[in-house]
Amino acid sequence: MIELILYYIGLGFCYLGSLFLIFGGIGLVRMPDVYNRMQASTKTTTLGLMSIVLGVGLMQPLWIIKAIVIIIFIAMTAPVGASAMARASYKSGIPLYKGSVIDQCDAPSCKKEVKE
Amino acid sequence: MNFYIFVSLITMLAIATFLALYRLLKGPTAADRMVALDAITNTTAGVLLIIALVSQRFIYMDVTLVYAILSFVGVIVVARYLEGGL
Amino acid sequence: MQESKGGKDSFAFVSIITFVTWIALTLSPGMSLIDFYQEVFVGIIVAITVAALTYKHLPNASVRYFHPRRFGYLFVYVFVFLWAMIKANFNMARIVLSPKLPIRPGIVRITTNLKPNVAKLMLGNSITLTPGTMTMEVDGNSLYIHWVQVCEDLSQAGNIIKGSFEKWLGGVFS
Repeated sequence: MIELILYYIGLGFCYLGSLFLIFGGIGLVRMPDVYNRMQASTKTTTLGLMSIVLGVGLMQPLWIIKAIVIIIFIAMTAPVGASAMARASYKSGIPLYKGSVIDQCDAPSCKKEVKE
Repeated sequence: MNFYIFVSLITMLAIATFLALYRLLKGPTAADRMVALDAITNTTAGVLLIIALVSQRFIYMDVTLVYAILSFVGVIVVARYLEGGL
Repeated sequence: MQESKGGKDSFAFVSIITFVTWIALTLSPGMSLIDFYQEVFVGIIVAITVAALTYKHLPNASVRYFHPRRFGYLFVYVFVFLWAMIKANFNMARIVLSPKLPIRPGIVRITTNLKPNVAKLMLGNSITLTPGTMTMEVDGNSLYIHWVQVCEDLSQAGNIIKGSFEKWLGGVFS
């Protein structure tokens, strides 16, 4: 009985995760510049993947330890990758979306390299 | 696992992959392509997990973990390259 | 923070972390008991080898990090973080699905008073996964944040972005 309940909860998590991955894809297509795309894509795909992993761990209760290891790993690495990508785009001189209101970035390590 | 559940999950993941693939092919700059590639690798990890569930094999969980590690390393390498530090 | 200069403290810290990671990675369902003992045995050997090779390079690591009070703060922090992450995703889904794209992006600079580098790293990671914000660069004690919906009053930006993360992380790394 309890296994059946866990099975359906896990299935719900799998569908939720897939839905968030689709939202990430839509954001990737619709957003106007690379920084906003990055926000939409990294946040939603991170939670979507974590949700699918958790769902699989609940549907097969013996796999839950490896599922938790994968979740911790994703939660630690995904934001680091996102920050690295954002800084790389800023340094390689990609301009902000023209509707942007403010740009306070003056750190010496992210000076824009002016390209001809 | 029910056949229809499997097909619906894989279809949703395929839609997500195609949306990211549009950005990967069209993206005006290299950074756009990098972001799209990151989204595609995350979706592929999800597909691997669904395959693990269908085939009832634990080894695909390890495959997913290694795949996630390699995608992270790939993103960092491309980011370093765009920064000009490689 | 109490500084310790390498030695036994960091050796014990590195070997415990390595051993726990090894066990978490090699446990698999359907493992026989003899296989489990084998993994524990190999894990101890690997942990001691890795610690002997690397403890000199981690002079600040110490077993004093395993204080129960820190685990209490970490526990609360994980739940605050998960809640913020779920909120962030529904917020992002709402922005993406609304037909007019209500975005007002910009880069703002906020300051933090956390001192250790690991604490700054975790604050940056938390900010990246919370509603509409993404850390771009950490430089000294200022963080550069890309924000999808910049608020009107910039003097409040730090409080809105950091939320209660700084308090809990300050407890974890005090």
